[in-house]
Amino acid sequence: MTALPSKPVRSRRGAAAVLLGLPPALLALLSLPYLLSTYDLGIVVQMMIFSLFAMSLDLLVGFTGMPSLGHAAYFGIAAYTAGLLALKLGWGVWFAMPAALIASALTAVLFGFLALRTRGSYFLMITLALSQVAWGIAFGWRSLTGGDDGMPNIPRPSLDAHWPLTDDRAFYYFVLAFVGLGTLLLVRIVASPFGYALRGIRESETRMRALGYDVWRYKFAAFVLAAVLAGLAGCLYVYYNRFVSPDYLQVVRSAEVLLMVILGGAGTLIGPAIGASLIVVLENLISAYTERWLMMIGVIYILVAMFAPRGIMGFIRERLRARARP
Amino acid sequence: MRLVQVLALIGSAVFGVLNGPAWSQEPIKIGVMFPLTGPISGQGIPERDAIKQAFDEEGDTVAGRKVELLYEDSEGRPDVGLTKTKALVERDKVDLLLSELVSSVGAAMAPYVTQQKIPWISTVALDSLTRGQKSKYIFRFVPSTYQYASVAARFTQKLGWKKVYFIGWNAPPGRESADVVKKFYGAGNVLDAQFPNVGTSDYSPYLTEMAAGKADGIFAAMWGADAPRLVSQYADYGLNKKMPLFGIASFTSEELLAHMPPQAVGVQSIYTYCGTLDTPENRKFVSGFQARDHALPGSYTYMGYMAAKMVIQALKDIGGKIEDRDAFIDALSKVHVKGPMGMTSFDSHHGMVADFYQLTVEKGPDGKLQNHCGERIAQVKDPYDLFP
Repeated sequence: MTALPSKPVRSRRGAAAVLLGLPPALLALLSLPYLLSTYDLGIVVQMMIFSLFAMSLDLLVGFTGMPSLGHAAYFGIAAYTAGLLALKLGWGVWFAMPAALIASALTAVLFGFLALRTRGSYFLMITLALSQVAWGIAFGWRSLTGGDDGMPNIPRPSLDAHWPLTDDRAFYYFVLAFVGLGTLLLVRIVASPFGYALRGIRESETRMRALGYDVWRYKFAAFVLAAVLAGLAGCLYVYYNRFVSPDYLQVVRSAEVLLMVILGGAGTLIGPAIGASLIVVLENLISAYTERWLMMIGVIYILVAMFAPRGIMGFIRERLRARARP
Repeated sequence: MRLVQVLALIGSAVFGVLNGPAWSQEPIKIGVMFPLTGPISGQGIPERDAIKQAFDEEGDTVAGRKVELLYEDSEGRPDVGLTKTKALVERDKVDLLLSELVSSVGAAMAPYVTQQKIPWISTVALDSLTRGQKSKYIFRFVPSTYQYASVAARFTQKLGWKKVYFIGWNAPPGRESADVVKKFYGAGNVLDAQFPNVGTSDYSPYLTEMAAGKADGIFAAMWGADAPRLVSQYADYGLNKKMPLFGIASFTSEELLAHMPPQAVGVQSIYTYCGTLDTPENRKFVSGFQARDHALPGSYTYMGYMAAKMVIQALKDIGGKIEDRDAFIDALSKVHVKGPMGMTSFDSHHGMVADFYQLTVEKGPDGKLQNHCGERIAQVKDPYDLFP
């Protein structure tokens, strides 16, 4: 891996662009429910949820250098917890959601103890195996989880008696708020000293250890944080779809989200969000016209691998940097 | 892009005003979603083609109105299937859905379809569609697990079976079939019930145990690539000379027979379609299907074809006025259609009522495996009283 600058190239111009760009972007996001049809709004909700999911994985893959192939486990465990609590015990969103996040955090603590002993492809394998355990429980424990058929009829949450989220517009704002919160948290983490320590670990674990960092503890914290944010995405997804099935924590989903991260550009945060949005749009747009949409996505992956090996965002950044240097 | 859409909208509005009531000109839109990619596409694609065939036979026009089929791919994944269903309903504004065969996708679709009040004719063999998730808008044109497993259990009891083995998928259809067999035979007479996972490649641990025991027969409740694999291993262990194998549901369906080993001769099952049945309707169905697909149709294709036929007849009964959804639902729940295998209709829960045939695998004149059509069990209903 080529050495990246230890401090990000953050020009004053860049900061100004962000400050100027933020209000219109926010306004656009807030007005979307009044511009789009309910179906298109649903697609935007999915884009946001998967963006959060992909960004949470980016914290591991892109910033800490831990390629996980079992990230759907936390997404799915939170989804199942929220779904079960709502369906069987009638818990409201303000109790079910924190409980779901705690469940995915506890799972990550357990899995972290096992998986963090390994590195690289071994880490990939063990995260894959651990997520399969979670999938096996969801699939096999039919009396609790409904097995293969999953659990339908999970109610949409309501904020309180006067604020039911059955209306698609209200639900959009609900998702927007939580995805925004999650994104803000990720941005803060990445920009903090903790975030820089993670980048250091990605580049050279031994050097970080020599500098006196407790590398394992940093990796563990990143692992659990990423799991909690994936769990948040899982909660939102279960409220959106109003059902949960073992498909939520299948390997296919773990691989899909990893591909979103790689496609968009690992270690850029915004890149995985772009990758996730692109995949959601392609899957839903192209498949109406041809059943060969998987081929189209395959072609896009090949093109990205050939011409933009650092993903879409990596490609854009390289271009910008090349322009900045005359 | 936007401009084009706006122009098109204005254009169609003007056109609509000039041409009187718009609905009489608009086509009837039907959403057809099946798994077209992924492991279950082998059943999804032929079924979609069979639906297309049924509408082609009408010249894509029913009761004077054009019919437009809109296709989507569910990938056999529930969340994808739900999103695609939303696309068909909210974006494409389909009038009804003729969709899906995967049970997890069906379970996810049911609440949404009911909430949107869209008539949905499904070929998902999910018991709950006519039980817990029952709704006015959902029709199930495929036997439920309870329905087909009860027929198999009852028929073998008539053959004089007393003690049986059971081997089935570790998934809802396998587990529920076992429940049915146990209910009919009594738990003590099911000597052993085994549930290997979907996609198991080696059945020897299960088969050696059965080879050592004494039972009147073995029930098998697995499909896809697993059924041919089980049959060849069943023959390898010499069990085919010792104990008959009775497949539940589409175990010997023509789609699966193509992949069965020659030793499958003699394996029995009981289900809704028998390819060699000689009726004019079946000849038309088989030749029409072979003309477009070159393969023999089986039970999945038959049910897709017939589900479409039921919709066509109901549309004819209401003169094509699909805008009156209640009238359409009323017509569909009363419709009786004579198809390749006999009369079919819906019961009061909107479950499928159809004739079943006892099937025995035999070697055909061309040396390929085919089903011999045995006893016909007329008008089989979902046993709601036994399995509420």
